[in-house]
Amino acid sequence: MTSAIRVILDFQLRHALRSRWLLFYSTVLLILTALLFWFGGTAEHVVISLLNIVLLLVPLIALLYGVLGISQAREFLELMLAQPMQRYELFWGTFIGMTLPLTLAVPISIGIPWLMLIHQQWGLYATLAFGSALLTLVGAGFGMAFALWWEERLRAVGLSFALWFTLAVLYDALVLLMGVVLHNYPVEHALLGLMFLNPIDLVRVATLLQLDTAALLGYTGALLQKFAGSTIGILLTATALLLWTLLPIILALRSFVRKDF
Amino acid sequence: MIEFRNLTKRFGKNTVLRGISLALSPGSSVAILGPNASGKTTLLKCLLGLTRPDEGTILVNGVPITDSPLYRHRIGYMPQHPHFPENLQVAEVIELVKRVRAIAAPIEAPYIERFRLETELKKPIRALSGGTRQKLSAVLAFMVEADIFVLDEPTAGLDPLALRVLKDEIQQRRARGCTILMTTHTLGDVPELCDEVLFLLEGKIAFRETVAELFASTNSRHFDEAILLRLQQR
Repeated sequence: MTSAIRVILDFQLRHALRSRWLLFYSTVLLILTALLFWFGGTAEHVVISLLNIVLLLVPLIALLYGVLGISQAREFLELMLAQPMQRYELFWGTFIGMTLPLTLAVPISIGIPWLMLIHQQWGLYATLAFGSALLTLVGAGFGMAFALWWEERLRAVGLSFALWFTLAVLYDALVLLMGVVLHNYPVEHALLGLMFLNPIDLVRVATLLQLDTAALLGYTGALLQKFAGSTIGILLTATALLLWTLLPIILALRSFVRKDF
Repeated sequence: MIEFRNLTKRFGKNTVLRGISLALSPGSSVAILGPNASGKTTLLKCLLGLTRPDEGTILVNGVPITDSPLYRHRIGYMPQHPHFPENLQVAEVIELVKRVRAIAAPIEAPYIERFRLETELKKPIRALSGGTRQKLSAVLAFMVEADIFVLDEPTAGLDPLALRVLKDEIQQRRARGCTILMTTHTLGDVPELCDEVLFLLEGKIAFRETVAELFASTNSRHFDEAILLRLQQR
């Protein structure tokens, strides 16, 4: 890490960690998790409830955070680009400084009540925490890329909502529809392939497989459970999640380095 | 020496700069004037490396600026719309710029005093008025050991006292032989702060003259009138 990246990272972290909005987001998640443990009982029950919240909320918040983080800082980025440093240095300092606090917010907010109230089944916690961290990176990366592509904030926010709606809502409906309409055809492999096109679904399945509760899995999840028991299934899932994490970051970096400010 | 060679910049179908060629010798103080969307800010952003020209090159002391970002050590920049991270304090923003430039000495102290920012240092940026942000922007630009100053509407939003301080800073830099490139819509400031006028119109240089030549050629005593008359002479 170059010294310019370290400097930018340091100040971006200070800025992000003082954000009232981040504090609010973390506190809400912490209270919600504590209440679920308080009233919900076992870790497995709580994880299922939390998972739905995490899968819907985390990508959306991360997308908006990425868009607003860049669009609100545009003039400041211009000032920094007029300093003697490379563009990639400013990008990495800004990206890590912006996303690190948000990425850690969910694991910490869930982790504190987990530690205090049940302090067991840490493998399940690790999967949920890791999944939420990946979804944060994916969302923030796409949000930043959208804000770099379009200076008009409304357009970037609109596209973020469209992507979130497609991955979090529309996708499930589409897969379910395919399963119902084409139930007489051997569409299992096609549906498995579709799953790799959605990071939210991958995190959902990876987490639910730890619970061994096939009945609670969605249609696509049930299919993957058969497949993901194998080593190749685990490897493919991990690779797909890694690619999903890298893709938006690469897009944002590429756009940042080439952009006319 | 700053050289713009055949600089062309397009944004989509809109050509903002059309083959601008220009050489500025050290110690020049140039007001870049022109109507809105004439290419003033784009020209400055090209020099800073914020915007990449589609054609042409820019050289600072004979070296293309695309070779390395280190030439920006020599540039102090005041952007048109100063904006800083809202949760950082004024002192932290100053520290950030110093650390990026690897400056350890307390070079900012006299500028903080001159622009009367002592009481604002611990305040978060979100608590500052537009004028105070502009003062901070001036401190950031002038505290660095630069010999080129790129000032995009530097007087906008400043109170009369801060405006006087800013003008004095610019005058001092001119006296030291620094190069000043400045855009402004306040034409009355130009004769006091600049020796030359570069007038851009639709991305081209309409004229480039010294302030003295401009007054002489138009036989006018008022700068805004001189500009209008000079444009009519074209």
